[in-house]
Amino acid sequence: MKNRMRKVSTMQVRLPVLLFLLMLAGLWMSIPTAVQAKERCRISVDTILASRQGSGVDSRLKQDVSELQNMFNYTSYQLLSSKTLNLKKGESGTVSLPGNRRLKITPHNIRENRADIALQMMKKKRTVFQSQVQLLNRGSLFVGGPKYENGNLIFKISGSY
Amino acid sequence: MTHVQSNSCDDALLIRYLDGDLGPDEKKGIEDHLQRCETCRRQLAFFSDFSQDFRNHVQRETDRVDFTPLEKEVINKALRQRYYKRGPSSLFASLKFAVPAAAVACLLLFFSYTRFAVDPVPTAPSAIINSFTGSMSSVMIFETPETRQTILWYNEEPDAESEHHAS
Amino acid sequence: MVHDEELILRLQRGDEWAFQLLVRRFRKKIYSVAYGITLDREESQDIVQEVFLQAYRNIVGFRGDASLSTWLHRITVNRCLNWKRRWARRFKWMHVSTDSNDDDAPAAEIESPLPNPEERVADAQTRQQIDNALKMLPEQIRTVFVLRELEGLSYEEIADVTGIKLGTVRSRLFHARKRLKEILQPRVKEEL
Repeated sequence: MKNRMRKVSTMQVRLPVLLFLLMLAGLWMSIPTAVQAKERCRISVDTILASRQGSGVDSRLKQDVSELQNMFNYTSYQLLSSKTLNLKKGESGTVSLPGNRRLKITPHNIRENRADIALQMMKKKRTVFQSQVQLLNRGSLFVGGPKYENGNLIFKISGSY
Repeated sequence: MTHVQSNSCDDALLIRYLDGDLGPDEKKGIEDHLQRCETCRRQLAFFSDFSQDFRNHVQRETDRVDFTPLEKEVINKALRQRYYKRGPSSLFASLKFAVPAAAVACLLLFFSYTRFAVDPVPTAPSAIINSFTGSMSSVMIFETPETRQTILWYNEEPDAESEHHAS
Repeated sequence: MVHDEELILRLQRGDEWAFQLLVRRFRKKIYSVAYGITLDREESQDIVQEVFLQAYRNIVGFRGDASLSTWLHRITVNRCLNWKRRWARRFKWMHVSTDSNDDDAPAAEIESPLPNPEERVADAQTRQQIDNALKMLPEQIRTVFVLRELEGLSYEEIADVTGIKLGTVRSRLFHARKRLKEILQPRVKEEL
């Protein structure tokens, strides 16, 4: 009988404890990203060749192309490469791009919902441009468009942290 | 078995004596001590009196209660309980757990949506350009109207490329 | 007079009259234990209901390992010490008015000791002092004190009801009385 009574009170304790733990899990998931330590970020660089020759959109670009089609009159979009860097705050990473280009990316500050990122585009050994951008978490920046082959290159730079 | 020195005061033993929890030897020791120690006798009287006051107090409180309606309600509930036990009560009983579980599930869905879901209508541009330097003929910065996607467009001029060597 | 064993058998068969008898026989006992622990009239009445309903539900599984009285004591103590009730009580006690015109409000502090045995009078002030002093005891200690003082249970029986060790029962009773002495007899302590 003692065991039965203990079992009853254990069951009465388990459910509220379980609900409380689930509530904690839910609260944790809702914590803004600023509250959690942000030391790393994931930067992706997709290289797109946009052209007025030919037609067709690379199936991997369907989501992105709708944005570009609003702005440009290219008829064909092709994904040439997709590279990802996993960088710490202050750490630089370089991505090789077509046409002897390299893009150096350095996240400086990861705060709230944006990251401060330094971009340096280089062609051969020369710097083409340098830029400081604030990139939205899970957002992207399209940078274009140096001439390449029969079209223009567009670089989609995305970040998540 | 603890042998009580008849000349030492021990509150713990005194209380056990009050509650009848001592063996014969210990009890004798305490009783001998009480004959000689007025302090312990007063202590014992205090504990005993408080206990009596407490019992009287609870008794009065209990006597004030009209148990008839309470009894009726309990019996009705018990009979209803027995009736529902055979049928839909199992469903109602499970609701006791299902409802809070469903509430927690909804909360979890809500929190995970706000955490992981992509905002369909962004309220800020996807990228803010703080600075842009380089040798080029032109640069334009756009933002698409609906999704506020930032586009930076520059024109490289081959003869205007910087002489500065990249680090 | 129906003995407990027969009462149990009838209850297990679903005899409604037996359940009425159970309620009538034990209602005051359960109420006084509940009141001793919770010090709240309404809550104690709720607990009495809950105890009987639980007994009604679970009587089928009762194997007679303990007496009916002990079994009911256990259910009562568990109900009183249910965590939801404890939080509610704590909240309620923290927010009780300290208005001196409110008869039910506990005094902010206990200043005077209980009257000595010759002057003991069952008056409102004494009742209030008792309530206040008991509220200052941690609930698990008060529970043991209640079972000892109201129900006259032995230390072994208290251990059985509460599921704690005998040594813990002794320790809690000792602390209950020591704490009550500190609250109610601060002057006596100085004299000693």
